[in-house]
Amino acid sequence: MEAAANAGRKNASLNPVRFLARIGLKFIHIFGAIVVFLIVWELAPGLGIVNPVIIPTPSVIFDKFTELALNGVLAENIFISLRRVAIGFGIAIAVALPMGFLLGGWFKTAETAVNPLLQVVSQANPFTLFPVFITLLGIGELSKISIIFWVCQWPVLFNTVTGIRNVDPTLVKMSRSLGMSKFQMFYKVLLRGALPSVFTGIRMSAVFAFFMLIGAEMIGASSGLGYMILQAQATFQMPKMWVGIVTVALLGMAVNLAILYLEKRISGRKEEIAI
Amino acid sequence: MSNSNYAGRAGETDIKIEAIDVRKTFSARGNGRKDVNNLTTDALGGLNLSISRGEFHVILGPSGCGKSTFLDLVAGLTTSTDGTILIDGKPVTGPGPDRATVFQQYALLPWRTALGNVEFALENLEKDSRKRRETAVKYLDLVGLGDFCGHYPFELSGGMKQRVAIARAMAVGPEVLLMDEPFAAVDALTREILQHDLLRIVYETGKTVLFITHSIDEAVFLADRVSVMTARPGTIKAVVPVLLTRNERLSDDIKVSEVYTGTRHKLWELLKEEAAKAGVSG
Repeated sequence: MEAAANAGRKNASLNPVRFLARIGLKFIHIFGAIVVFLIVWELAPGLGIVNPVIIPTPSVIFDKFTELALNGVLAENIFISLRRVAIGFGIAIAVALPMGFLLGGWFKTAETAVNPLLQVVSQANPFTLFPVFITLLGIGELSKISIIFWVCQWPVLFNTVTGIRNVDPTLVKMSRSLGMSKFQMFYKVLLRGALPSVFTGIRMSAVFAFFMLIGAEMIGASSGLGYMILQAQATFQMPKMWVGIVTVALLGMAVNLAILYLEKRISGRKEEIAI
Repeated sequence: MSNSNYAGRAGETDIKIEAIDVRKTFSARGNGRKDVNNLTTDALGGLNLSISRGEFHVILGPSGCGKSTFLDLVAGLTTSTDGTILIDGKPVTGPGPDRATVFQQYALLPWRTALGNVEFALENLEKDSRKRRETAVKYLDLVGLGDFCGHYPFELSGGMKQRVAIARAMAVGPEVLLMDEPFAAVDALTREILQHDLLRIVYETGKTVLFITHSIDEAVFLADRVSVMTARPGTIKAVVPVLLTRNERLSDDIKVSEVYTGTRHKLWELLKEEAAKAGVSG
């Protein structure tokens, strides 16, 4: 593989035009679909396919985006929203991860006993729980952060339990035959073996966190991206609304990429599956 | 050492592993079957066996006869219901670095490289990580995987994975190597090469080996002595010496020799009955 990379580098130094062409091709391969989509969107109002008042062109949205970015409105709302996500999501991981490890690894009897209850509770649609949270915790930050926490904890908890359960039992047998203590086995084999599943849970939670964030900010808030979107819609500032929509999408993507990067850093190389 | 057979005949040599009247009973989980009399299964029913120091001993038996149960007991992974297993005259109380096990399913950590997997076994024994690495490389060299240190298990073939597992077992410096059908999951050609290489390594290092298989050919090719087990509850039905020198096994094609075919036939006769019994009962 290294040889191939070297060969590629040699080629590049010999023929910069071909090298650039290859990079260009790669760019088109990866981002081509997005570019085509944006071009069609840009042209659609001119062709009379969509109403530009309701769905402005990307260039109009981008102009509004720079305006809001420069006057600080966007940054302020992003900061407020991200803080809510970070706290709710952070507490969820801090609670559900150790809980999952304990239930999956050490207290299997307890897990069997509480699992049906957890399944039922976690199935409650979080939007239906909004009134409960607001009644109990008011309409301030606490209820918003709590609802994000509530939603985020389940995927982390269940995936951690499953991850530990699915660690190959022969690995446990092997480490026992090497005379490892229970504790060593736990953190060298079970924890490490559960990691891929744990990260799947964390990524699911991140998606849910943004769902609930926007929901919470649309139901009862006076700041944040969800509020910004709703308020822009109410006052018919469509470009501003679209800036909010695009920003939320980009933030979600960025967080997902950050978690993927972290996962790659921690778990190292992975088998690539070709179908 | 590779020129002579293991130390000698029973009686003259000291005993490395001794099993005295070993019984193991599992409480059966029913599996929906209304059991006839009680809810227990006798896996081992009073097994007696002595294995000499430096001997390559193969246990041959029909499936479900309790071979693996016996190996787990020697490894110290489970305890017997009754009877004792002695190693160097001392009862086995748990796993220890004097024994190392090679499992049929490789049991490699998928997130570690070949080198990392061998180092894993040394983490309790050697504090210095540089020495750990040196030892691991040495044993990967021994099994012929010196060039594959940085490969992850998913990048290795079945035979290579089992070589890594053998290197890991050897690296802890055990006196006894316990092997639980280690070559059952690899293809026939790879199996022959692995068997040959295993003999070479064992002869070079002088380990005592307890090897479990249900393949008669494998038993005859590898073993100094073969124990044939009965169907459940497992006991030793007969112990058959394989009168081939270690040199012959490594150099000639012994599979056509008279000793080989004769021993093979004898083992088949012994096993046939038990296989039929196991087939009826289980």
